[in-house]
Amino acid sequence: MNKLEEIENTSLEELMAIADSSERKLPEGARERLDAILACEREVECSERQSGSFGRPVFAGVAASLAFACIVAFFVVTGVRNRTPQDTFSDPQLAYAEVVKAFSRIGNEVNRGAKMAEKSGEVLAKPAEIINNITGSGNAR
Amino acid sequence: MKKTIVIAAMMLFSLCGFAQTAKSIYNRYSEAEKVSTVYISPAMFKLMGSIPAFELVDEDVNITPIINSLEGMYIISSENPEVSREMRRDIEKMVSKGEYELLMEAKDDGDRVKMFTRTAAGIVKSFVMLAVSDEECTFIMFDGSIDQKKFAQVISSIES
Repeated sequence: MNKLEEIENTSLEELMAIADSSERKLPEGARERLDAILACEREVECSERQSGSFGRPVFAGVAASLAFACIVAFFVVTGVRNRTPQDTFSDPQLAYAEVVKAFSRIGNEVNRGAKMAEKSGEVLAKPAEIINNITGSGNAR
Repeated sequence: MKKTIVIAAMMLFSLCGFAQTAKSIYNRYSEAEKVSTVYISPAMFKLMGSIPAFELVDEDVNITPIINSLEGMYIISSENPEVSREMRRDIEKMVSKGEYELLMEAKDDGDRVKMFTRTAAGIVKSFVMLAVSDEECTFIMFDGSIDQKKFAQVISSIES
């Protein structure tokens, strides 16, 4: 009788070969039951390999972490962008002076634009003047 | 799981196209180099409106008619070319999406000025000015409920 360890280390095929060669007979239906069990185990192994179930929990974890990081980043960024700034001046007089300065700048730019529009008006009037001169001199003839 | 990933990706992309407001622009550039900023809050405007009108030397602008109608002001002035470029882009995005109307655009010797307003029923709700030159880019924005006629009166009273 071989030791238990030796039997455990022997492969299934070798065990079956020993069983075939030995005089002892297996009980009825034992072989069929063994074949069925082996076939089931092989099927389970194949389906596990195909589905890649070993890698699925890792991938799901990474995706969940990424989604969580995106959500946190979104709220952090929007929080920073929408943070209400602090008043630059604590003295209303200084703030008033700054407002006046800003309006003065706006007024200057508006006036500059108006002057440019006035100049364009003069330029636009030129063709009309030329036409009038031509038609005027034409009538005179 | 797939739905979660798609939603997360959409939220990430939405960061890029996040709506620009004056507050977000101010917060983004206020700490940058060669950038000076001014923010005046609604509370400060209320304080200014409740005390007697100041008289400022060397300034002939009278904003008393509209001071109580102002609700907030942002001023950003940048001499940093990179910041100026990005700021211009953000401001263009803000005015394109915020129901602003182009009031005036002028270009003169490399200086470009654009002014936008958002009005409703003769009331100026928001005003934006963007002035760009070779050295500087200035952004002025104020919010409020300013009567259009009074606003025009204040601006036209300013002599350059």
